Amino acid sequence: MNAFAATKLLAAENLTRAFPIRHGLAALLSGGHSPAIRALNGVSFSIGAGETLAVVGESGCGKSTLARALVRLIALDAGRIIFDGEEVGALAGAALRRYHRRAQLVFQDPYSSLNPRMTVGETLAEALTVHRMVSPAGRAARVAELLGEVGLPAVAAARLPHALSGGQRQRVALARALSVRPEILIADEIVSALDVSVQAQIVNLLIDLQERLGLAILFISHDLRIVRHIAHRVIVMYLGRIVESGPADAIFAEPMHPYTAALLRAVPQIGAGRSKAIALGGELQSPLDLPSGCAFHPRCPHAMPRCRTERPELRPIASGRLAACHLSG
Amino acid sequence: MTAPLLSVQDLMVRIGPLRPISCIGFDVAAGEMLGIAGESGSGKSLTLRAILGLLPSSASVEGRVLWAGQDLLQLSPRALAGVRGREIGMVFQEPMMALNPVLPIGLQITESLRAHLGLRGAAARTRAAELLDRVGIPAARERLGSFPHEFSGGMRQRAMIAIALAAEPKLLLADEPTTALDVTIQDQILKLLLRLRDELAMSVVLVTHDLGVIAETCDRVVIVYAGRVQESGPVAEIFARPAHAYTEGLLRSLPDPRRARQRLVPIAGSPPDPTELPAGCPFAPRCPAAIPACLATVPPLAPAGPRRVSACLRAGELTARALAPA
Repeated sequence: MNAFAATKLLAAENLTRAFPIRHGLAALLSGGHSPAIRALNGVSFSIGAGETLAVVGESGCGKSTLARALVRLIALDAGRIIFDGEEVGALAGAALRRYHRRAQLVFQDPYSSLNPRMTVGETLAEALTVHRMVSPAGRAARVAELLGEVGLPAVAAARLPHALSGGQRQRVALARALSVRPEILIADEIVSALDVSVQAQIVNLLIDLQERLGLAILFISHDLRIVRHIAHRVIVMYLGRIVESGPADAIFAEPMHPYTAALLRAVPQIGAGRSKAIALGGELQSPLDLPSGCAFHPRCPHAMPRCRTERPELRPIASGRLAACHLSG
Repeated sequence: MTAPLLSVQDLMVRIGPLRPISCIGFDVAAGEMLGIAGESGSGKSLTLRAILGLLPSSASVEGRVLWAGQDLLQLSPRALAGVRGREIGMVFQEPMMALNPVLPIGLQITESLRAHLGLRGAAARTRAAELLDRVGIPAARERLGSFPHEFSGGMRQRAMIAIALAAEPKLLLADEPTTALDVTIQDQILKLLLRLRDELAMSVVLVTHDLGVIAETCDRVVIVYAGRVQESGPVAEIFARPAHAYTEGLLRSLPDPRRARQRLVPIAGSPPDPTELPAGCPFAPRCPAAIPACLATVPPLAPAGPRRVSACLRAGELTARALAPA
């Protein structure tokens, strides 16, 4: 059973977003419908307080669009996000600011998300000021406290981002997100650009922070080794749709969707023995021209005639597990 | 023991006041796939560029790069250009940066065929299509007219490999060729490199930060840190029993599926600032096994078992598993 289901913090229902592509003036004038990239196609899930839910999938699967849609950096065409009982799309003014405080997004590259001209202390103080978290008198003390929370020395407050290493910058980005005491952290590939030894430091920090602060973490990553380590539950996406979801242990032990199985086979492992067989042939289909039926069928080693015509619904297969495959269940 | 195909000895690179490579050496045997692993700033990519004389003129390079009886570092630019691309091919991490965006793929291959082999016209086009087919690009003949932007990331990397293979080099240097790719495409490209290595009987030097990639593809591995070789030897043995505290630390910092949700064991601190390298072992400041001797002088590479060398003063205890885990 999912221990976090009782305390559902955020629920996404049928999230859908397409990005239209305009092909020149002629196409526009002729009035033909313009093609669109369907980045999110009916994505539904929920995440509980204190839970780590990982979203995995390859480039173009929609995972970064999902991260941005959750904090309303990108508008939805359809679907709704319920946070703590309120519909996020209907929020405005002070209520929206409050949501933006409670749900924090952290990006892959802290070098481009930190202001290069502001010291670490100024960056952290700005977040505190915007959300009126502390009195001006208490600001410096809170900045020092935040640096301590993410394992940085207090002297780091005087540094500029360029004087920090990649791992230290990612700690600053986390400190900024934590400064406003969020309830959910949306982490978009936050360890992907780091060296392994430093990656392990940040992974430990996330596990610590979650235990101490009870944070929910939506951990978006293409690195299945880290996901397996950190996630309670996993969502696997392919071309804008969820193809499988469930408890991390169960998915990694026994994937139910052929795409998940191929992803796991493709991860380079130490000491696992070598295979000459390719884990998955072909390439991602163009999101402009989605295949009929199951979007994965052109690459699927198990595809049947039915897979070309009929799209499998995401449906319960086992306890807490969903899969969208005609073969499973 | 046959002579190695390539022998890099005591390579040192200075750029202004920096010394990004202090001492790197390794041999590549014919038909071998050799991995060079290290974290960012370790000098692994720079090593490949130094071998082919691709560093900016502000860099000074010392040491020896022995290839077919000559030292590539002593060759005239003209003579080196005859080796580069023809006898030694190279592929880079970002094919979009290495390919010419305004030339069709086919033309970029035939350019290489003309320059290195003197092939022209229909013969060159036929050969270019064969090469694209060989690296797994479907409908190769039709794709000769495609531009790089019309290819996916994986297809671009395949096209880059086709260009590098045009002159049938004996050695392919691959600098993080799969780092920018999705995991299933990475798997395809790695399997392609292994197949080509077998079919063409060439050697491959694969530079990567991903120890899993090394484990799945390479015969031997060279572990570099702060511009120095720390240890080298057969992949399976090094990963089973590292002979350097740095390798041990790297392996231990990886997630272990049997210990999900538990604390990982990172290496403390971060790699040394290249402007302030320590006097002794460059890893000593982060090393849980460091002893006073590690801080005094840089430990030299010493034998650490059959076909293995290590620059760790505690190599013997590490391979004997005599050191208690930190």
